[in-house]
Amino acid sequence: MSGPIPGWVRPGGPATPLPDQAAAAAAEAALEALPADAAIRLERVSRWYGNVVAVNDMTFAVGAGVTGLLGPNGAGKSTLLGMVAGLLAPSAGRVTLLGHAAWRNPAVYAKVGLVPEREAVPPYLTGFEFARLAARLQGMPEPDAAARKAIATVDLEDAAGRSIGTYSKGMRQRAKLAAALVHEPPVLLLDEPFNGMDPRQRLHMMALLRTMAAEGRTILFSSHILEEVERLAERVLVVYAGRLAASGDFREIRRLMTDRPHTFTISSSDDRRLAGALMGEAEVFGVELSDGWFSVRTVDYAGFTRLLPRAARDAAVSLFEVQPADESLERVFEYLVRR
Amino acid sequence: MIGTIAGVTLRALLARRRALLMLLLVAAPVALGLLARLRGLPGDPIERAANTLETTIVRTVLPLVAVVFGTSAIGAELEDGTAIYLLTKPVARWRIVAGKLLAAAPITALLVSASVLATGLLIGGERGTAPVTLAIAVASAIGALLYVSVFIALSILTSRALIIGFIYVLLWEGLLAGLFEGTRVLSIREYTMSIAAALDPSGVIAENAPLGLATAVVASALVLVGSFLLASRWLSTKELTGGD
Repeated sequence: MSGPIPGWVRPGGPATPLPDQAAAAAAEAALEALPADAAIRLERVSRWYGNVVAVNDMTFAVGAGVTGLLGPNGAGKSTLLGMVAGLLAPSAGRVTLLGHAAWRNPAVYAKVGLVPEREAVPPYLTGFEFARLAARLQGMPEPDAAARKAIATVDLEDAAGRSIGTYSKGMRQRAKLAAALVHEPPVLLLDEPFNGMDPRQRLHMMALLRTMAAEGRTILFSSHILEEVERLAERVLVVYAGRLAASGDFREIRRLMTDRPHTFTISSSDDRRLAGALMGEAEVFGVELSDGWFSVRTVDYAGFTRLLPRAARDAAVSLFEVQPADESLERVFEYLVRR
Repeated sequence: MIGTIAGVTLRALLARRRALLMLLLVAAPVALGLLARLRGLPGDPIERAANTLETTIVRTVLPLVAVVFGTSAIGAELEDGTAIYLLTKPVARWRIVAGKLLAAAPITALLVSASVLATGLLIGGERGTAPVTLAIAVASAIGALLYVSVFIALSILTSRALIIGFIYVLLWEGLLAGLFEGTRVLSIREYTMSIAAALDPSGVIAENAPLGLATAVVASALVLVGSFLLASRWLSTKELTGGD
């Protein structure tokens, strides 16, 4: 199950509207492509709250290794993870964990560890007691030893005897991870696990998750930060506005993100002359002149940033201001949904 | 497993400021009892003990302590999000409810019954109030179990359990049960007093006992089992959000 499988994770439906029949056929094809033995499977899953659709017809599977669930805040990541973790009932479709229904099936938690996004942790317990409680509730034969091991794994030994109420945000995250790892589950679900961690803790946790993935565990984590996902995940699910915008090998998604059309706004000593010079370049496919500035559309972000100063120098034009116009992550997600 | 859940729940209930407030609440009738003893009020001490204990503790302190501990046992965790650490473990939901009940009911019963005993004995332990005091103390412990089981179920169903609990105690039991006799069949306070009447050898409580013992026992059993089953069922379909 380990290792990236090309085209293995697929969106439940196309982003652009299609006739019902075509959409149904696409969803059926995505369903058929799902590997039967994947630890996490979502089959045409939707979730709505009244009239608001939080998750819209998603079909994908997640196997061993680290998979990142990427999307801006409010995209539906937590709702999705909540359904995977059996905390929320899907309004439609089916979610399975290790072959069993996730919803209303507490027995499945013997093989799943969850690190929720919410910061709240019982403040009256020490870090060690919190991990030991998790071990006891998991019915482990030696809860003390299991808790000690988990605490050591997350590098929290020095603070293990202190009550969690006194912990920093990063320490709480590690205490939550220790409790999730105490029974060494084959599936680990983490909702924004790096929130509040300092760079050293972040690196440590990333190394830890990589090690666990190498041991064959299935790790699904959510993040709204592209760099976190890039550094850790082998595969990625991009979620935007409740839809699966893109999925698969991270490098492929990264390429899609990079090679999408970019718009730069430029102000120079002679906009018309520079615009004319740029129009002759292969990287540029659109120029629009305005009063005091002009915009350029390109598909090669890096290539254009190398080309522009050279073109300005050759045309004897001074550049006053160059600004990428649409670099917010939301715009990237939006683009992925549209394509 | 149930013991582990009960242990950590007890710790949570006692760790918060509300435990101190409840301690002050159960101490109030004791102070009244002390005052009565110091002033040496005239009249039949057994009757006075029965009236004081019913008015101050069974009607007021018992439901208030029970509503606070009962709705906090799991309701507070559902409210602040820490319930997620309990509900994502391979533990049957009925065991979780049992653990919560095992923590909140005894602490409520202990505080209220101790208050009954101290107050009743202060009023006139040497003048024959011990049997009626003991009867009300035992009945209060049973009442605590019933109230807490209902309020635990209510706190799983709704986040407004505390307010609904107060409305039940003040309006339903406090007002309607006095006006309409039929509503007494659905009043934990009436079950408590009926059981106390059956246990009281002096017969003072029996004069005003609203229900027969058999009715009270059957109704109590139905309330306990019903609220336990409903709480387990509601907990198994309870949705949690982890964030976002």
